[in-house]
Amino acid sequence: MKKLIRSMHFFMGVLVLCAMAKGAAKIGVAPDTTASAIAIVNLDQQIVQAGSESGVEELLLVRSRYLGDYEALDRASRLSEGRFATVRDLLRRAHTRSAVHRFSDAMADLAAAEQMGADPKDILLSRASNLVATGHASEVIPALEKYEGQNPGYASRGALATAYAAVGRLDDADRLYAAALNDLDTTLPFPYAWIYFARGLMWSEQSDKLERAEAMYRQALAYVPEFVPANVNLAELEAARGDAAPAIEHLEHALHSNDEPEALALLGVLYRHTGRKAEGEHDILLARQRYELLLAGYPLAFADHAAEYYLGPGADPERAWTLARQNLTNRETDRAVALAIKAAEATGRYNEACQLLRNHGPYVSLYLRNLERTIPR
Amino acid sequence: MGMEPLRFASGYRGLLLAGITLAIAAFQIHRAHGSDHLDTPTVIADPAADIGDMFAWTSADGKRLNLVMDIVAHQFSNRLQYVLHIDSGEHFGQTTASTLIVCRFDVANNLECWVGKTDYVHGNASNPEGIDGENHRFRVFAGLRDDPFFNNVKGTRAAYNVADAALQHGTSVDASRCPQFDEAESREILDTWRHTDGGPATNFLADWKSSSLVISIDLDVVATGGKLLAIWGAVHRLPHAPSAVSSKNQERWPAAPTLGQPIERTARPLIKNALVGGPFAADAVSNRRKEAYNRVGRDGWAQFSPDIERTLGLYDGFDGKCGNQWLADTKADPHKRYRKLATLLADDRIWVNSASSSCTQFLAVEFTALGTPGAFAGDCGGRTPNYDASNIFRSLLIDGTTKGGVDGLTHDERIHSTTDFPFLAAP
Repeated sequence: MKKLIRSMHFFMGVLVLCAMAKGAAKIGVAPDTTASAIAIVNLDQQIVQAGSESGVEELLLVRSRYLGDYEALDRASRLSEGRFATVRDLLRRAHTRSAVHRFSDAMADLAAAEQMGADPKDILLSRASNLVATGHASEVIPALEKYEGQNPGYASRGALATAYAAVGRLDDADRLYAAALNDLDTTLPFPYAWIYFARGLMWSEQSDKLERAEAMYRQALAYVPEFVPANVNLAELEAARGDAAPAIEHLEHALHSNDEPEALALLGVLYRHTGRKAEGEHDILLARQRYELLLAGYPLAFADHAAEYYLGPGADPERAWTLARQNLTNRETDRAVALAIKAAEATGRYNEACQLLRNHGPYVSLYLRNLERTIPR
Repeated sequence: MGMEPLRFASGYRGLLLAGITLAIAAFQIHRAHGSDHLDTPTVIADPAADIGDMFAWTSADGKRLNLVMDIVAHQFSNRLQYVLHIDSGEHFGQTTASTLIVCRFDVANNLECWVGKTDYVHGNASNPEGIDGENHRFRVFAGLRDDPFFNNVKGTRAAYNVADAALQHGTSVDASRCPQFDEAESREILDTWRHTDGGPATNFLADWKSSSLVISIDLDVVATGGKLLAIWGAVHRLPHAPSAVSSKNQERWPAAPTLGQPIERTARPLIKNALVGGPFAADAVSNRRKEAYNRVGRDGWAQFSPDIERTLGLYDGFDGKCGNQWLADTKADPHKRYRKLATLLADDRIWVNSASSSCTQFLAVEFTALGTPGAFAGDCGGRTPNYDASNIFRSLLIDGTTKGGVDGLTHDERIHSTTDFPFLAAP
């Protein structure tokens, strides 16, 4: 059964990889933006100045996403849950609910906001975000293409690129991401970093072009060196090719001002394999405690991250299986299916694994292949 | 490496699209809260590019010009140029010379400033005493201070809402675009404006801090064209070329840099937030015009006179009497009633009479030149941090007076100095 699954992974992976395009990446451009250290100081000032005023939630989400600040995420979530009287309130609550992976609730807020006369553009982009996140990108691509045609710019091109990436149109996505970057005319470093990060994620998870992915992550970090997910993902690539020292450096940098569990877990593994066993065990344990704490508050938001942890250094495949199924129920993306298959395999549930593989989308194999590549055996 | 799984989920793959829109949109939550604060999407996104206010006045000894550029952010950008233009001439409206002060910062907040080819300074200017130029012709401070601007934002918004509701319910508008609010409507608009949530007016910007670029400079350096000075501030991006200097310099310091793309400019309070982008303009339209306003060269300023003219009528109507706005010409063709003031305001510079060392009246130079009753002819005019400039300006637009207090506030919570460098209260 294991052999069958692996054969299917390989076959489907080849098909998809053959279809991949070869878009050139324009990277290596020196940031022409305000230094992120300054931008972060100013972001924090804006958050303080806004107090609890409506709208501060989205500033908190920015802090959360770039700096791995889950306290900011928690505050944004709590604030927005108490505000739902106006269209803006509902849109903001939809954003924070999406941020903690409560996609159905977010869609309900968007429907309510639409009923109250929300700007169709706001609804489109927010709904698209949820549909892409839950594996329904193809449903929203026609609307995003129309919107991009009518309103070419950073937001429309970036949104369409993300949807294209989700359905495997990597070359189209990369071209649009590059166009979105060209559309930017701001000294704020964050949006540039995010686009490069999105391109890095796309190339690393949906192709074998890891050098390109790495270059993208490095460019994201050139704009925002404090960008925690970019540091972690770059460290993953470095670690996977056996380059522990730079990986450790990136992770230690990422953990400078937070205790992001993903970074902690990977750092723990690297410590363990570079002779720093006690530190490694400590960080891996810390990651577990941190994940469990986060799962208690936001189970859907961290189910996939935690499942991968338990498949790896967390060494609890049953817990991984529970979390992976929870994640899959919340959003049937190909990646969620792949994760569930991995958890099923790890717990000896080969029938379930095979069933999942047969019944789901064409890109599941890509994600499995991606996982295969990065899991030393 | 022979180890267990290294692949961990990123918390971001489900949120990539949301992250794209959020990366900029999140910063757009506050709009038009101040004098020139938060005026366009570009500067809201990077508050280090956002000038809140400009102040300019002469020193008590009559020897120096004091200048303040307030930036909304807590730290200046290392990728922007902060530029003060001091034009000068003998007659109001006609300047014949110009002095440029250009400052830029590094990540550690050390600054470099050039005053044309006359003087230069490089160093950390964050101590209140500031640092002097190499030729001792100017002193500069750059750091966090209390923001002296005060504004009853909620009351202002509520008053606009009352006016908007009246307009939606059939209040007519005359040929000059002045609404014919009846007495009750007018009373409600003005009363609402003076309150916050029905109670006493409160300052939305209380305790706001801003990055202040404060300069005190010898008058003879800047008054090269005459005693009347016209001041405006701008923010430019750093030019792309790394060696962007205007010319080789034989002086002891590096040559002044060439200016990059302009992204922000301001002088008098409220011009852009209240007039170029009027209170009822659609965001997209208003933002487009304000972005263009910030980027246009000096020779293109007049193109915004029609934008301002279109909005002036609204303010003239708030007291229920159309035609009593400052400089309104009730005998002119209705379409030209507000042209004179619109033309004046589109040339947005703070005028200072440098022959005077007494600075007590906002717009004194303009009042004197235009024969406005009550003008303090011997006053320097300009704008000190203690003027109730925004409310005096509103009064002039509403009923042609300088009584101020339109939003129920008359002064900031903090006392700012006009004599002791760096003038603004400590944060």
